[in-house]
Amino acid sequence: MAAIDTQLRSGALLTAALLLAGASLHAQGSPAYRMAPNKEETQVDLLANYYTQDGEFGAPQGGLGTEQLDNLAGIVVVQVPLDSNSALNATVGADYYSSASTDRIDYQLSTASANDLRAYLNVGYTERDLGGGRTYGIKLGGSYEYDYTSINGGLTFAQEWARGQHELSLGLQAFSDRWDLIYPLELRRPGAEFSRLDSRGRQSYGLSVSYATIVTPRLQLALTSELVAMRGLLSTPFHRIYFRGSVDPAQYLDEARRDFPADDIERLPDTRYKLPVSLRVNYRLGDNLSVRTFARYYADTWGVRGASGELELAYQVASAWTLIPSVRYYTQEGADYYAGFGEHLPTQDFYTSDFDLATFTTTKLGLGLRYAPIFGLARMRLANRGLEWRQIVLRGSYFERDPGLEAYSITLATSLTLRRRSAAAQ
Amino acid sequence: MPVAPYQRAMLNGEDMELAAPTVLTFEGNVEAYREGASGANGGKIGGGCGCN
Repeated sequence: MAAIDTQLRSGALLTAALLLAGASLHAQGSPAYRMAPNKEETQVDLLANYYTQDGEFGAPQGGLGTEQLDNLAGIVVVQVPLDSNSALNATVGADYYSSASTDRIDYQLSTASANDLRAYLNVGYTERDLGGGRTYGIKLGGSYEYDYTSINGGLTFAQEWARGQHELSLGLQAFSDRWDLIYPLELRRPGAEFSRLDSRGRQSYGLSVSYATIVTPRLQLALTSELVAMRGLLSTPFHRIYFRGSVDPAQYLDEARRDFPADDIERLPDTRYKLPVSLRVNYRLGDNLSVRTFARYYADTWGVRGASGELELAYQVASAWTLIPSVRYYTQEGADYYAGFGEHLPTQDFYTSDFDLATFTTTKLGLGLRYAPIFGLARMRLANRGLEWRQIVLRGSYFERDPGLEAYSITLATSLTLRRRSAAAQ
Repeated sequence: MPVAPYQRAMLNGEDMELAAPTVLTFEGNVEAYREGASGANGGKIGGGCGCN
């Protein structure tokens, strides 16, 4: 714990150093510089995704059994300039999933817990001081699913200096979430010896600091740190726990013998502090090739440590076609409270068998293909506006967790631009 | 070293943007749910139980 506190303090010091560096360098900025005004065009991004996974350590079953999940998702992102320095943006989306794992909450397969819809909406407003190089933003949003509702708000501020070569940005986010407490079926029955949860709420607060800079005419980078504080119900009420010796795992895995009542549900502390620090570096290797890299280190007060590295190449194979392969590797040291199926002791204060908090590594391979003709895929007039179908992107990826999970994802994304007639004619 | 605006042509275009690409939104959500680590990537820090 002392080591984590030291890391958190280091993060706070890094945050302070970034702030001071930004303020100092801002003082040297050029007063003649003005940020570019907003383009007179509304941009609409449409995204659809299908995701499927299967694994061996389902948390609703106490950390043993299927993690099979299918998810179909769609998002619409709209960015509307109001004038040269202010803009609105909105994101609306929905996920529809089918989960064999949450279907085990009541062990009556294909019941209500097998499928669900999550819908969400986020809106934001930004105002820019073009002469001063500042951007102010506010955002609000919310999401809903059958056992969980969430509302959020946030403020952002960014300051450019040295003719836009450097930018320091700050973000403050707050989430207020509420659970409907759904316990495993056998623990809902009268007489079940089981300590019910007394909290339904979860609050999360995040402070992010990011410094972005252009290093050379071909290289730019961003260093980001984000301190997150969470409190409230941080465990999941329908995650089962089986204590050591209570159930034979081989018998438990037998689908025909689902008569093993859980010993308890997952119990986790009601506070958690997270500190990720990331570095993104982009390098333009040639006229047709961009190299994007991303690395992150993460630590939290539950003992989770994570480090990831990602490399993505964008290679323009023809004037309209770009091929985008990527690879990502992640390694994680698990939480202090994690142990597998049937390994916890009832004397512990906290326990989880959710494999997302275990020790593992993951690897992801991805390939994207973008088609973006110079004059768009299609154009048409809409009243006094010009509508352009700008580009389409198809991306597939394979995700593997070692041990025990494989997943595939396919995404289709396209962009439309709506311009005023005078702007469209240009 | 100062890099003047007219020297930044090679940095233009969506492949050189410092934000995570929009097309990776869904994969970013999966990583946030399936891994214990998250944040510092312009994504969300809360909202949704991530319990599926």
